Amino acid sequence: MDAVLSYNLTDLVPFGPETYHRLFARLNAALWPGPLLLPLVGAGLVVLAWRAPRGAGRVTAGALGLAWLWVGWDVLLGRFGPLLWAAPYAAALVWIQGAAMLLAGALAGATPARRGPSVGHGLGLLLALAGVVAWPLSAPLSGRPWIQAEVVGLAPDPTALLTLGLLLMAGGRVRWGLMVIPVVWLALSTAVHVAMAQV
Amino acid sequence: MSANAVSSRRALLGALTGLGALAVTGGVTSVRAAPSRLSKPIPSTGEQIPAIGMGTWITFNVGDDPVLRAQRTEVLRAFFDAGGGLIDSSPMYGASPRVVGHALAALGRPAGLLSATKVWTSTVADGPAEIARSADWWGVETFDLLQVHNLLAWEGHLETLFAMKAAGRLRYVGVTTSHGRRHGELARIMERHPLDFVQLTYNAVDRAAEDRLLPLARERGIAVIANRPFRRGALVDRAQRRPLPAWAGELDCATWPAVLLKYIISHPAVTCAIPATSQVVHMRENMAAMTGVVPDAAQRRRIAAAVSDL
Ligand SMILES: NC(=O)c1ccc[n+]([C@@H]2O[C@H](COP(=O)([O-])OP(=O)(O)OC[C@H]3O[C@@H](n4cnc5c(N)ncnc54)[C@H](OP(=O)(O)O)[C@@H]3O)[C@@H](O)[C@H]2O)c1
Repeated sequence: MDAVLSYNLTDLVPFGPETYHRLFARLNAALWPGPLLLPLVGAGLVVLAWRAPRGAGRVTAGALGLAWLWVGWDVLLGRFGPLLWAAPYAAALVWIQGAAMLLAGALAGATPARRGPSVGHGLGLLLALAGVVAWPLSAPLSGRPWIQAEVVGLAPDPTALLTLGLLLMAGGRVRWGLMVIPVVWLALSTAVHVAMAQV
Repeated sequence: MSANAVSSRRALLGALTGLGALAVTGGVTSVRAAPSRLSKPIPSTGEQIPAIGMGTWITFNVGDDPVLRAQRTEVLRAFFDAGGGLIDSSPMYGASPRVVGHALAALGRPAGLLSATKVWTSTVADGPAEIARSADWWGVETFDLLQVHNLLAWEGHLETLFAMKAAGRLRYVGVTTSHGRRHGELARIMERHPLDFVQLTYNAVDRAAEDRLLPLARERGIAVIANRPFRRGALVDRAQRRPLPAWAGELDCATWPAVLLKYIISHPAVTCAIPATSQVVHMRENMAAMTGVVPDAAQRRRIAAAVSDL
C-alpha cells in the first residue's frame, strides 16, 4: 500500500483516452440496441421521480440496483479488468452500491418518492438529466463518434449521475447514505479523466 | 566520449567513406549504405544492444481491441525494422504485456528481441507465479531481463531473480525506479548487489541521475535503461512549439524527439533509452536517434541549454 501511495495520479491510470473511448464503442456495439433503449428507461425513471406515484421509490431503487450490479460485472470486471489492476476494487465498490440500492428498494419506503419543488429536488432533476441526456451527448459534442457514447445502465459515470439525481429528488434519510458511493465514484472518474488528459 | 560512441562514429565514417567512393565511381544512385546504428554494451557480459529500446506503459495497454492491437503490431514492426531490441513492460501495465505477446507472435517472433519485464508484487512468494504469468503473456520461455519494479519488496525479489539467473532461467537482473524517486536507496542497492541493469528516469531536464547514479553505474559495470525520456510526452510537446534549431542538422537530427533521445543515449553510462509510442511515425522518428552523429560533451551541453530554455 505504501508503494501505491507513493504514485502520482497519472502513474495509476495505465490507459489513454483512445483505449478508454473505444472500450465504450465496443461495449455499445456488443450490447446493441441497449444503448438506444436504456436512456429511454432512464428518462422513464426521471419522469417517475418527478410524478412520484406510490411505489416509485421501490421501482427506481430496483432498477438502479440492477444497473450498478451490471456495470460492476460487465464494465469494470469484464472490460476494464484486463487494463487496470485496480478494476476489481472498483467493481467491489460498485457492487456494494448495487446491493445497497436493492436492499433499500426491498425495504420499501427507504427511498420514498417526494413531491414538491425544492432546491435539492431541482438539483436532482438536473443531475438526473445530465446522466441520461448530457453525458451520452458529450461524445458527439466533443467530436467523437456517437457509438462511443456512455449511457445509463451500461456505463458507470452516467449511472452515478442518474442515481445521485434521483436520490436528491427522493425523500427519506437513507438516501444520504446511498449517495456516498456515487459521489466517490464521480470523484474517482474525474481523477481518471484528468490523468487521461495529461497523457 | 564513450568507446561505443567512438566505434559508432567510426562505423559512420566508414559508411560515408564508402558512399564517397561509390559517388566517385558513379554508383551512388543505385547503392545505399545501411545507416550504422548506435549499439552499446551491457557491461556485465559485453553483449551489444541497440541504444533505443521501447517502453509499453499506456501506449500498449489496449486490451483485446483488434483495431488497436493491429496498430500496435505495426508500431512493433517499425521498431524491429529500424533495428530495435529491448522492449520493457511490467505486470503493472494492464494488458500491455499481452499486447506485446500478441504483436510478437503476429510478426513471427522477430530476431533481436531483448525481452525485459518486471516483478511487481509486495508479496515476495508471489513473484515466481507472476513471472510465469508474464512469460505466458509475452509468449517467451524465459526473459532476458527481469527487474524489480520501483524497488517494491526488492530484497526478496532480488533473491528470486539471482536464483533464476544462477539456474540459467534468466540472463540479466535489474531494479527500476522513476521520476527521480529513491535515488539514495537505489545507490545502496547498486553498491551492494551484482546487478546487471538499473532503470531510472533520465532526460535533458531530469538530470539528477548525473550526480551519483550514472557515475556509480559506470564504476560498478551496471547497464542503465533511461525511462520517461520525453517526460511522458510533455518534453516533446514543449519542444515542438519551437522550430528545430539549425544545429540539430549537425547532429543528424531531423526532429526534436531525435535531439532529446540523442542527449540521453550519448551519456557514456546510459545503455539505452526506452521511449513509448503508439504511432509508427513517432517510432521511426525515435529510432532515427540511433543513427548519425553521437553528440559530444559540448553538443550535449548545447542540447541541455536549449531544452531548459523551452
Ligand atoms: N518505474 C518504472 O519502472 C518505470 C516508470 C516510468 C516509465 N517506465 C518505462 O519507460 C517507458 C517510457 O516512459 P513513459 O512511457 O512514461 O514516457 P515517455 O516515453 O517519456 O513518453 C511517452 C509519450 O511520448 C509520446 N511520444 C513518443 N514518441 C514521440 C514522438 N516521436 N513525437 C511525439 N510524441 C512522442 C507518446 O505519444 P504517442 O503515443 O502519440 O507517440 C507518449 O505519449 C515506459 O513506457 C515504461 O516502459 C518505467
